[in-house]
Amino acid sequence: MFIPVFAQLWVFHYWPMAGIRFAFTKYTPFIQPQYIGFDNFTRLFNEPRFWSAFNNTLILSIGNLLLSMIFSVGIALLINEIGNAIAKKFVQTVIYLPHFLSWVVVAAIFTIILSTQGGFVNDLLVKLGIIDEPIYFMASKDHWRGIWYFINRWKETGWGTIIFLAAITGISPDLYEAAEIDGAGRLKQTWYITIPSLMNTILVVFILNLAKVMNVFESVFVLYNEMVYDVSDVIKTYTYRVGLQNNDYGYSTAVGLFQSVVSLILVTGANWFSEKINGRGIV
Amino acid sequence: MSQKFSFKKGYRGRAIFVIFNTIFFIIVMATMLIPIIKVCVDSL
Repeated sequence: MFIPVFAQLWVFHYWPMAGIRFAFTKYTPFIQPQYIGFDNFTRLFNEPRFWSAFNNTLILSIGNLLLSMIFSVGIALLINEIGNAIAKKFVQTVIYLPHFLSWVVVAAIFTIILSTQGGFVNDLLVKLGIIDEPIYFMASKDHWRGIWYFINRWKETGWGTIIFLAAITGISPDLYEAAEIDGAGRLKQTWYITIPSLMNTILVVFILNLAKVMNVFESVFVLYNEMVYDVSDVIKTYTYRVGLQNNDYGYSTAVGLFQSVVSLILVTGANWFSEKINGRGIV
Repeated sequence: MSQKFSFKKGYRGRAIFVIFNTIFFIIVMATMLIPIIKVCVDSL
């Protein structure tokens, strides 16, 4: 039974690690890999476009991570307060819905909605007198990040609430009954029972999501364009362009390796932080 | 989790919360559904 799991792990997770050696080579489709030491890393650290991508990755991912925790926990708490079971299921179903759309479809939907020519949002804002001229949101450096955060929350908030709703369901009703006898209202019960009971789950979800902070790619790739590279280009899209479009495999492997090291530091740091606060980590 | 819905003293706060919670979820659901419905309708 273990063999398929082992084979899958080996083929897709461990064997590709052998490719790390290309980070120390000059390697294009036209030449054999030549060992060049740390030259790719020297080039990397002197490349302004790389640092721009690095900053964007942190800003977009950490912003999205914080928003995701706030929205998911908040909405889970509010869903929990819906008394009618049918209404509760209906709300859950509707807010899960966008998760099942692929990023390509989501990008197409929002590109149409935010379009300057007949786009629903621009039409509405112009009719309400909020703006005079339609704004090309997807190509505006001032608006792109806000739009990206919104689209991410639109797609994933519902899905993010599942784990917190499950955790809320698992809280012992005895605690609420005891609190009620002590005279605590719903707000106090939420503040002193529900939220503290959710803290471990929040911490686990936070650390697991922190591991993915540097992996943001698909959502950016389908929504960005050359006009907003300064605020949208992330490490993975940068690696994609350098590696696959410019065929510079050695350099793009160096970028990928740097990204993995930063991810490792973030996860280890978060786990250390968790141990300090909570007395135990999860890794 | 369901409690008595009433505007009598002692239940008023809960009733106001339930109304705002319902309005909030109507807005959230509209935000989730409008983009999908709008694009589907426009594509017909």
